[in-house]
Amino acid sequence: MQSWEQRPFEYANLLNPAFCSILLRNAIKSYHTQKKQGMPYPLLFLVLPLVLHGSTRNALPKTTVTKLHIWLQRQPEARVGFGDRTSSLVPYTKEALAFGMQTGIVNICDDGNFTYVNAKLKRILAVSWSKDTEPYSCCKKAEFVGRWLAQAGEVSTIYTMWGICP
Amino acid sequence: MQIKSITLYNSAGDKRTIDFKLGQVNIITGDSSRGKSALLEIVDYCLGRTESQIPYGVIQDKVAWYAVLFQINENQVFIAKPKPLENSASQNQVYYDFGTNILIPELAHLEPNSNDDAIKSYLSQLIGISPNQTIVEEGGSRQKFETNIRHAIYYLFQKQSTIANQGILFHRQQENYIPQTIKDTIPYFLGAIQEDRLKLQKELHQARQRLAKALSSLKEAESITKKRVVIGGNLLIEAQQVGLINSNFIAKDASDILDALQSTLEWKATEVILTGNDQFPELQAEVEEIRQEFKQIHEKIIATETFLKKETGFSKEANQQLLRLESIDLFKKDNSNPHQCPFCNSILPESIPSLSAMKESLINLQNNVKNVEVSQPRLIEHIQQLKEQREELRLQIQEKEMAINAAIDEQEAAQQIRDTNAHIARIVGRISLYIETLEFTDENSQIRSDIEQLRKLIASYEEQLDVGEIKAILASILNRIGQQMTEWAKRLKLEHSDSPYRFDLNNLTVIADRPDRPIPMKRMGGGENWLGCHLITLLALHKHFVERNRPVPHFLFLDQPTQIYFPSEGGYLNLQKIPSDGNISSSADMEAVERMFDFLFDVCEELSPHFQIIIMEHANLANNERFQNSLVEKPWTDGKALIPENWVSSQD
Amino acid sequence: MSTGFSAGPQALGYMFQARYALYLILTNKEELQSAVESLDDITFFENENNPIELLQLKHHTNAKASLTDNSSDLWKTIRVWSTQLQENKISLPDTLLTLVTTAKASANSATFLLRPFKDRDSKLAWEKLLEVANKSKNEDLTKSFKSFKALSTTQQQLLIDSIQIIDGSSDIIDITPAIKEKLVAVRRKHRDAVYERLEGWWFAKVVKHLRDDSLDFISGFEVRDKICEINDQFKPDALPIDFYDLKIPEQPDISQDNRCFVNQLKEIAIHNKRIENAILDYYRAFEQRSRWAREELLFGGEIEKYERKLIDEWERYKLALQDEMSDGNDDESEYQKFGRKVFNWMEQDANICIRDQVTEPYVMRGSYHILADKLLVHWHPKFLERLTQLLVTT
Repeated sequence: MQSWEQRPFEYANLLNPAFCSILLRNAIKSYHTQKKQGMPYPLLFLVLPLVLHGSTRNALPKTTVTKLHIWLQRQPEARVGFGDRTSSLVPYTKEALAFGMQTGIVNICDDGNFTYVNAKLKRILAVSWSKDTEPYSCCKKAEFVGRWLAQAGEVSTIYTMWGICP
Repeated sequence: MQIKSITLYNSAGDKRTIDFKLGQVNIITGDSSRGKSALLEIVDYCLGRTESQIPYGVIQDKVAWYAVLFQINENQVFIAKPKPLENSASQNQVYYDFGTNILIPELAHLEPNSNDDAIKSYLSQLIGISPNQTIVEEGGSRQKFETNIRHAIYYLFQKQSTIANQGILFHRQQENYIPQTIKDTIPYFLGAIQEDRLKLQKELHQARQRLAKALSSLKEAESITKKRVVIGGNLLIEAQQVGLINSNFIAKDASDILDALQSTLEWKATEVILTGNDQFPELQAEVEEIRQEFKQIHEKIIATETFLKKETGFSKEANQQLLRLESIDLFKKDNSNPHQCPFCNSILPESIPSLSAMKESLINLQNNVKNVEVSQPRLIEHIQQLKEQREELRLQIQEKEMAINAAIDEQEAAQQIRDTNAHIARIVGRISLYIETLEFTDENSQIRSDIEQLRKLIASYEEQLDVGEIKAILASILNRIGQQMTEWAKRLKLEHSDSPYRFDLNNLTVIADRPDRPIPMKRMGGGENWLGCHLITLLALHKHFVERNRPVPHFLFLDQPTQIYFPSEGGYLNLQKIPSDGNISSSADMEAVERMFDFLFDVCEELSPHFQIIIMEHANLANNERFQNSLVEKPWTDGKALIPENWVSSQD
Repeated sequence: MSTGFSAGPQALGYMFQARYALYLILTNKEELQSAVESLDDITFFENENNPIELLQLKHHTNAKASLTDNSSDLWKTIRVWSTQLQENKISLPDTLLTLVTTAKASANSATFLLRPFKDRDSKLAWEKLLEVANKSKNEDLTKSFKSFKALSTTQQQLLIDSIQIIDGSSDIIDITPAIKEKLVAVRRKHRDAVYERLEGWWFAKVVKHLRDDSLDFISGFEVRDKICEINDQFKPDALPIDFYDLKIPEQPDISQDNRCFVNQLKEIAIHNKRIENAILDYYRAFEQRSRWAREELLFGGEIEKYERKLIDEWERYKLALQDEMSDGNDDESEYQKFGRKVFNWMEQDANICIRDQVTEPYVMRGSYHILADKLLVHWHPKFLERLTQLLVTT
């Protein structure tokens, strides 16, 4: 990762660690609510590529009734380029995690999984993200992805569903 | 694909696992009603069959989940399904896991993450079924469909009621539509259809479309050429009417017409004296000047509007970035030590951006956008002004043009004299234009050669896709399978083993070709022969599948093949104690039983490690070493059965 | 001819004459001045009192027109020149008198003998013309004959000796390529466009000249300057719009724009129009790149590599240029020239694509402006120095 000042402007602004860490925290929170345990480290790397890629985000199902595996059999095109996007977003995920820990909104448990810390963020009203804005729908979809991954089976199986290696 | 293990779960989370050996014969022996036959249904259920056929009673009562671990080359797929809900015989929810070395998970883990349809297509891909489509002969009314793993199960199971049945050969053959399905899908499994047939069909379809297009453009081009000759002829007539060409001239062909027309280009008008002062050049220059100005203003408007559009696009994108940067306002505190790693507290080589650094970017970008948004209203106003100026100039041009028209009207009188000249000049002008645009080359030759090539391409595709070709390949494959069956019929000493045996695909039965007439399976004598026909056909098919590396699961379930050697069904079912060798009705039958088992062991060894046979049997050949070595578990007698004793006694 | 209506032969004549005049001006020496008294009457002067060539132009639409010894074209011309000789407006034999016509001189006529070829015989021509002047019954030409005969024999011979007749001269259409050939300073691919603008200007000028009965001369310099001016508009670093003459305020108001990359461009004093184009490139690249990142997540690591490469290439060019430029002289206009060179290299020579299939030039140009905005590249060699000084002082 280049320093903040040296980064290409669009990557600095659009993938800034504050925004990405909020998305990760939303996913961790809903994962935790669903499964009553922290989110495994490898799954965190799937959140940003699922939520930030426009056409993938729009193709995500409305409810978790449609399981990840079934969805992938129906939408094989979602896998195209997913591996490349995921690996190019790895440094951003790591940075956002570090930022989230430094600001105390996420935390690491003893078993190595990640969990969130309550009441460390202001209400969403503090910013101008109305329902029709992109950041708002990214936040909602990140919550969805957390719940979804919680019901998708083993970590290794989820990775092979996408055809990628941890 | 072979079976590594079968696992049952009860609602308390206890597990009962039966392990199988890969690439070998596996035998489960035991008393009746111990759940042996249910194993076959459990595997079918876990292969994506939605209607459960697992017998009601103790099994369905006590088991909560059924699971099978499949081995596919070096990978493993674990597939588990809950039992159907109350009042229902079907269930399509699936939990699956994929890996190279899977541990059987605990009940708590089994949360559905897939369903039958997805698993069906997933397993089909895993065992290597490529995209395909069944073949329907010309004029057939059946639907085409895609062969998948569910169409391979006819070769995997032989239930107790099928294995020695004189009327049917395959699992579920007695059900409606199944015979046709078997006949439609077996050509693919046998490898009579190219793997890329579907692609070829698509390419053929595309080539046909291209051909149709090329043909229609050729037709169009030819009609244009024809039209050209017609136009030329009309021009010739006109030229003759005004005396440019001798009116007695008769053109024989297109080139004649062209030569005659060419000659008219020499024509020159006789001079006409004009009177009066011609203001034209002056006015013309003035209009030209205003037009220039008009054009410049017009260009300015276009340029400014483009600028405005790009500016809007820019500020839209910049606002999206601002929105995301606003995230920093949600944080209550700054990251105090941005250069310290939160995981290990070491110093980071590149520190994490701080909120304040992001704040700065936010302010910079905001200023940039502000810059743009301030200028927009001014730009819009400016465009408005320019448009007003443009309108004014437009009016001026119109006025000038009216003046020019007036000047021309003055010349009208002189014009009269020139009219004849002008008329001829017009004809000559049209002729010269016509000759200029005439193409002497045959521009259709390219299209013609394209069509020729497309036709060849289509013919080659059609040849490759010829259904007759498939039939020929299929006949030769069935022939080779028939030879194998004949050899094995001799070995098993079947009734007509001095004649060739073959598998009759049309009637899904076995035929022995006696010199006087063909004998179908149902006309052969006795259960022993029927059983023999089943075994040699299924094993010959599997041998072909394995050797040709076809995408069919490589295992075969045989449910109680020795039943026919017992004097009565009662005698067979009441077998209690091992060894049961004594219960066989005669030593000749005993020999036949041994011969059958030896045959099964030999075929499995010949195909090792690519083929697995699983046999459920009442009989237990205590003196047969190979038989004893193949036992999966201790015989299911006394308290031992598929369902453990303690499950039965426990109260739900 | 691309006018919307058919011009009469008369108009064609005017067009021809105006074009021919242009052709002659371009053929003659630059320092000569020409006066267009009427369209068929052009004079070239060395200075105000020294006409060195008088031209009469006669155009006929009829290609078969012939120039005989009693044609009115010839005699009207002779009358004009005789009068001028009488009034001492021209001094022979220093002035060349030329009659240009599209008609053909008939064989063995006086006009035939006056063509500038080796069988020219002005004496024989004079005899023939004198015979016509004495014998002809053409009443229209009486005045012309009179004014010729009013000259002394020596003067007559001198006059006829100074006349050259160029017959069968290029027709209205054919003269155009000849003029285009004269535009030697213009690139071949621009010749048509430059010629069109030149002709528009020239026609407007000639018309005005005639309408105002102007006594001003048109000099060869003026015409050649105009050609340079038009040609400049087609140079790659200039703008092809002549709206200086239009009194329209420049938009957008660049002087108000204080963004860093804009200031960098102001520093090297390039034309506002180019700054506008740069701002456009900046907007388009900003929008396109941001959209790639936002919707496609494309070019993840590539864009960093790409920016690095842009900086490297810029650095390499700048260093090479520094080696060429004389250093040590602290001259602002030299600095600006240097900066403009670097900027021109970026706009015209550099062609660095982020991916082979993404070839739109604005991506690279706009990306350079984005880098310039972050001060990672600069044009004016002293820009960074001055900026830091400025920050220190404020």
